Amino acid sequence: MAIDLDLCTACQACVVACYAENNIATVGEEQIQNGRGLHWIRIERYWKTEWPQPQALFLPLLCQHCVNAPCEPVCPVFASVHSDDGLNLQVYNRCFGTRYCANNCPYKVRMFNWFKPEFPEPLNASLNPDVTVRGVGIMEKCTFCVQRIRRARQQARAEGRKVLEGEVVPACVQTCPTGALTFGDLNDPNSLVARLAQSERGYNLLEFLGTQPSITYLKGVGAERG
Amino acid sequence: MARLPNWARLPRYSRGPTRGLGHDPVPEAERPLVRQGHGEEFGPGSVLEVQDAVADGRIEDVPPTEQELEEMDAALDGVVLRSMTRIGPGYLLLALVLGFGTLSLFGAWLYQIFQGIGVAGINRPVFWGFYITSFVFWIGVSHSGTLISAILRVLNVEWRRPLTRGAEAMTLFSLMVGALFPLIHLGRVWKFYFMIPYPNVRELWPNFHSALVWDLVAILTYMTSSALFLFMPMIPDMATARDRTTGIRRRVYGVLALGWRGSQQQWHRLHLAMKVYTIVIIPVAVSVHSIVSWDFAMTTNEGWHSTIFAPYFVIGAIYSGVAALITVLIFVRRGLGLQEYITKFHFDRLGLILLAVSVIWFYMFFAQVLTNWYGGNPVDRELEELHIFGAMAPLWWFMVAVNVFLPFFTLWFKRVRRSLPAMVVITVLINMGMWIERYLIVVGSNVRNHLPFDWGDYTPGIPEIIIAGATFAMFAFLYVALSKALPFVSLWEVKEGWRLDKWRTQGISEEETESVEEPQPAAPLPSTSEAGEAAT
Amino acid sequence: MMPKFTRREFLKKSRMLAAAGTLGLSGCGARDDQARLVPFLQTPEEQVAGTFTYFTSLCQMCPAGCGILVRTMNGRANKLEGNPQHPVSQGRLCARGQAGLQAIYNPDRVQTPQVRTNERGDPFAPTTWDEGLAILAEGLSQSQGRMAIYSGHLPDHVYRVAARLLDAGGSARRPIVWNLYRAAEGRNLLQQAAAEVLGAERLPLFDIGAATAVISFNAGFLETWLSPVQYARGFAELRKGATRGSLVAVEPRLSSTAAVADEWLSPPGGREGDVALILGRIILDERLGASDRPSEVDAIFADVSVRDSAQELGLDFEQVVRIARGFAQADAPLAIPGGGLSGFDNAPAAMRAVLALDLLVGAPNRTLFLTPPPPAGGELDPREEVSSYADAAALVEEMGAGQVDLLLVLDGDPYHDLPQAMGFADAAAQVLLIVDFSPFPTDTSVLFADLHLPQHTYLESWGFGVPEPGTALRTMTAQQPAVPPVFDTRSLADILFAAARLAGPPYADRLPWEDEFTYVRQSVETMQQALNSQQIQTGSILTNNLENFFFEWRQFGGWWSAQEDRPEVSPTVPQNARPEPPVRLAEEGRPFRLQIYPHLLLAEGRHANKTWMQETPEPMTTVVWQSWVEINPQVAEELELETGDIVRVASAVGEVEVPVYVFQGIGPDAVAMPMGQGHVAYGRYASGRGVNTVDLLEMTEVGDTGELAWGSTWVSIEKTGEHEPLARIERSDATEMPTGI
Ligand code: SF4
Ligand code: SF4
Ligand code: SF4
Repeated sequence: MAIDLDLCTACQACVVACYAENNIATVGEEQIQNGRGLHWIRIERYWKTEWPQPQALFLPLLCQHCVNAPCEPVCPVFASVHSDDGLNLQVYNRCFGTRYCANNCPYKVRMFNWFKPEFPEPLNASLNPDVTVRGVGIMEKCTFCVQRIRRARQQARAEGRKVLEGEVVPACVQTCPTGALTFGDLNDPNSLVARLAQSERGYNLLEFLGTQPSITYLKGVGAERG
Repeated sequence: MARLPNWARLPRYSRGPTRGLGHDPVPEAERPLVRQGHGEEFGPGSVLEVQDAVADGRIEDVPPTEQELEEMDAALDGVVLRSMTRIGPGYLLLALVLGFGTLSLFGAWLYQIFQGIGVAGINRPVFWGFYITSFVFWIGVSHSGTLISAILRVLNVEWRRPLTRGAEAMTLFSLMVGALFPLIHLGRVWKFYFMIPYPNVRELWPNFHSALVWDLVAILTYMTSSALFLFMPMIPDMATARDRTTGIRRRVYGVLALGWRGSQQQWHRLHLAMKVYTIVIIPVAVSVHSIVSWDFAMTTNEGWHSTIFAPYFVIGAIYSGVAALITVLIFVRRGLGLQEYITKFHFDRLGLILLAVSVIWFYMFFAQVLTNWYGGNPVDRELEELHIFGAMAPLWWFMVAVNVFLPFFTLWFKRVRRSLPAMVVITVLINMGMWIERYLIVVGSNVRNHLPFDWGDYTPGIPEIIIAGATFAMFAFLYVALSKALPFVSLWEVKEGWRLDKWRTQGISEEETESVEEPQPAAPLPSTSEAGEAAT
Repeated sequence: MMPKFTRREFLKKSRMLAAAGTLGLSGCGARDDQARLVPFLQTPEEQVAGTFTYFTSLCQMCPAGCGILVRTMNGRANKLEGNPQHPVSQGRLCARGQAGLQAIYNPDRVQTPQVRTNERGDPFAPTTWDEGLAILAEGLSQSQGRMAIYSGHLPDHVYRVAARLLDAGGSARRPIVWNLYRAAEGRNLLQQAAAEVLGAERLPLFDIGAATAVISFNAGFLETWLSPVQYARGFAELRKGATRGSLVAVEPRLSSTAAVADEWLSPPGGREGDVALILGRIILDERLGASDRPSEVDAIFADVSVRDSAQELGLDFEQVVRIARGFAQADAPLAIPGGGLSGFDNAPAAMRAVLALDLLVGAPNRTLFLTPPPPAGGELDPREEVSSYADAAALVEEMGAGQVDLLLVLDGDPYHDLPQAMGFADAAAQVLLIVDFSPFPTDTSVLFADLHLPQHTYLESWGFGVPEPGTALRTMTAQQPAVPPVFDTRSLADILFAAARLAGPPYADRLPWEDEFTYVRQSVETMQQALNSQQIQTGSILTNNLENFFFEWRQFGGWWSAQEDRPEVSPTVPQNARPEPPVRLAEEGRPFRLQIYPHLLLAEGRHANKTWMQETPEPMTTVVWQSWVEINPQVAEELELETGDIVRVASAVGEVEVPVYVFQGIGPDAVAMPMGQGHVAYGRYASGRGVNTVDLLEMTEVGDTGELAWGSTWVSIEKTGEHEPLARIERSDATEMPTGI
């Protein structure tokens, strides 16, 4: 995925789209006060400079799907694993909640279910049947909407072809009104996302940690923008 | 010339080889005249005076006679076994209170299981809090028991003899407490068996790359080996207990004595096994806390990701362990009436060890802070600022005060080391400081992570506070409960010590020549047939 | 015989065992044994539960009118997406649009008709539709023209039905569609300004994507203003153009629009028009005005003293000059007069000043157009008029005077959404029968309604909509039920038709349709005929057959013209484009101007009952689930306040207690508060949460325009000494930029 910081307007559409697509539970005011929101993607607002010349910077932050993912080796039960197509996935059934992975994720994008999530009737009717509803005591996080990838892959397999560029769009990418998010196959050098990753504006978040994220951020380029 | 009373022989073992008391006696004429007899001028508890008297040459250091030795044996057996069998109302009350405390731990835990782990105060980004702090703390405490005992055994420090049992028991109990925490802190504890490598149809194994699995292995290994380490030297004592008790106790001890008859061969094997085991268990102990430290050091978190962490944790563990040992021994000595055997001299020596360890610990602590401070890594720097000036400063400074300054400015003084109330206060404070140190490590690095947007804070939840507090009750409860089952002083080792001492100062008399190699305490000579039956 | 097991052998064997162990252990690593691990992983997601069915529809979560796709399975909607072909949304959707699912499946929906059997404010008793409709029909027959309709947001097709209903009842009123959200959009004032400057009373079409330099004058066009998805797309095109287009925001509060702008000018509230004048004057001085500008436009900027004004407004003169140059030299400049201007009594002049700036740089017909007229025809004529504050105030007054016997609250919550000072609560007591049609237990319904006839949500009902402001493509969007009704509710049009039938003439005559579907279908027919007659053949739907047309209209999500239609603007230089400073300046004891703004997610409070909207952070403060007041850091220091301290904010007409958020982006002369919370009822997620900030507003009108000067209330701030941690996503106050980001 590539994220163009010059385009993100912090409109939060991606945040809600992810809630809808991935059956993410809401936790309520008190839990948010404790820092227990479950946003798989969030827009971090930084202050580059402060009053009287404030400059804010928005950083959409979701799982970076690190190639060298620090969250994986620490999980004692292989709940945090790499899929063959390079996703970093969470096996909900396997997770028993040591939260070690979340400690070791430098981006702090792993979200923990501190309580049993609630979907009071008939709110449960809006759940996406493709996505597991997570229970208490387990970790969850952005999956790059793996269910959409799987659907597309099955379709492509049935038709005996490869998944095409643009055939899979995660919910957040799909809805982003400015198109700040771009999704595609990084291994395909012709894909848009692979070309964006080569952009001279591109950088990886916390690059020095060596996690090799799959997400390339494109620096804002305006007057004095980060 | 005064004779040294029997009960005062014990401290003699505590003298190091360099302190050859009596080697440089005051000329006979100048020695003060001291009346002979048991404890006539030196009542029980005045060990210090006796030692001083011996040192000053006011009294002579006379080894006990064979008969006296037997009397001493009998007295020791009596004291220890009496403390095992007598259950007074005070004891019951204490056990009840502590038992209730232990129950509250499980009550709070059940509440947490049914409500969800969210009742604890942990959050994002502080995913670990009181539980892991307690875990590290108790594993740390567990350290010195076995380690100290093993090191003292290896170095053949004579004064260890009355202490080893208590130290080893401490290891086991604090491990039992500490090992609960990896379970308590799980989000879904009912799935804990996922961690265990059991064969299953999906061929799923735990991830041996994960430091938590190392932890599991390390803790289980340590638990088993320190249980054995406790148990092995207890076998002869079990036989003693078997021979001195009746009824159900006798049967149980009989089983635990594993058919011990005190034969030459048995003694030989026990000594050999202990020699090997003592050496082997030292690296095990060191590795356990190294692995606990690697839970942290293997991550990307600033403040955890540090090469010094393993030795730092090990020395920290020894530090808090020695302190805990002193606290525990002071209470056990009092509770079980062992004043005659565990004396101020021991605390004096342990105090010196504590002082040495505290200095080493401070060195590592300082190195860690200094490199963080000068490292130029902004997050590290933030972390240190948080500790030193920020919200965590009160805790940090308290820790520095009690873990660095307090021992340094007190333990140099013999008077302090020999004052039990002072030692209780100091060691308890040190352990409070060590608990806080673990808290600062566990929570601090989560509070200050790489993304300032996600810097967090942490307030423990009520179940967390109850559970963390109740572990102390549980630890004490285990101690109190098992004090009625186990001899808290290693009888045969003490007795062995007396004899070794006698021979060392006196040479070996004719009739004892054959047992030089393998000194054999006189006391536990069982009536063989019965013992054999009970054991089988 | 047992094989002899020697010591040597033992050692050998144990070495082998150890080696096997090592191999075995490393074999358990993820990489090597992936094939075994992955199937377990994929189990849930690999199972395709079925195939999704997509329905096109029309988003009703805000007035912009995006076309949407409803993804359903087994008759349940599980995701809303933008309709990729729809001109407004083009496959995208904003945060509020996504949350439509929580409207239809809201656990607090009113599930059956309800009637009040006792005092207002006591619990309702459930009733049947027959009974409920009978009461409503009775009310209609009895009302004799003493009937009124209020709504906060009314879909296009229902507006027309509602207007007919009033007509039939002999009421001279129009349906009132007004609340603070609408007021903050400033549609009316913008239309009036467009009428004067651009020559037609329609909303201007801001072609942000075609522009290369945009100055937004208090237009939160990336948040809630008018048509955010459309504008956001324009913004992306602006940024991605061959030369990256610049955006400058002129507004008193650093909204997220201003935050993504390259530069932010923060004049005191109500002085944005002066900034336009200063910029214009600099452009004139530097001879950078467009060559084809109408010559009279220069006069507007003639006697502006730039340095003095800039200093008075607290602006950095160098910066202003730089902005002016960049703006005028850009290929395609565009100045946008935003809804934020409408909060002050100088709003008309300020809007004209901004449009004059557009004239000066030659924006008209390059980046500034008028929205094309909707596809014409009978029922599809544009709304004759949009309600103003004065209309709403008049309604409340008449209610209070006992001139209204029947009040239909079609969709909205007047008790919550109208400022307390308008006196809705007292007025409502004078109305004989109040019927609420909201799908949710609104404050108004719970406290005042006598009858609650719950309507469908938009995903369960038919309809159509003409987006306003639309794009350059003339559009009529289709709305159709994507899922069966969840509860025993009916669509609003159906309820009104049924009641009209029961009430008999004249209602039955004016509302002759059997049901909503027939009505919508007939409207589409009308449109098709109109299209045929106007020879507009190049639409998105190429068939002439009515049956097929209606089918495809539903299939594609509407009809839109294939060719862009940008009506030429014939600019006239406005008369009075010199905004005076707002009349209402700081008052004794109330030193802060209250800047109220529509919450990005909760809007005016409509979405406060949706957990996604409550739990998604407001972008600048990241606060969720709460109300707060934003205070300048310097002021906070003077008053010794920190984030989370609770203060009492008091205006002349009301006071509330809210936590403080120390905010970098608000000047020391103002405090800002979002709308949206403070519901008395409205379901479990909204009730009793936060404070209703509009209750602080004083009723000042914008000149003689009949609009509310909602930005001109002054308040005092008083520390209460209490503190409560704010619920926010940012976990600390210290979020300055780290390295490596
Ligand atoms: S961003 Fe965090 S959760 Fe995602 S792969 Fe990297 S370490 Fe794992
Ligand atoms: S890729 Fe999918 S799961 Fe990840 S943040 Fe976007 S919508 Fe959520
Ligand atoms: S949807 Fe796009 S523009 Fe909006 S917050 Fe997400 S990334 Fe930014």
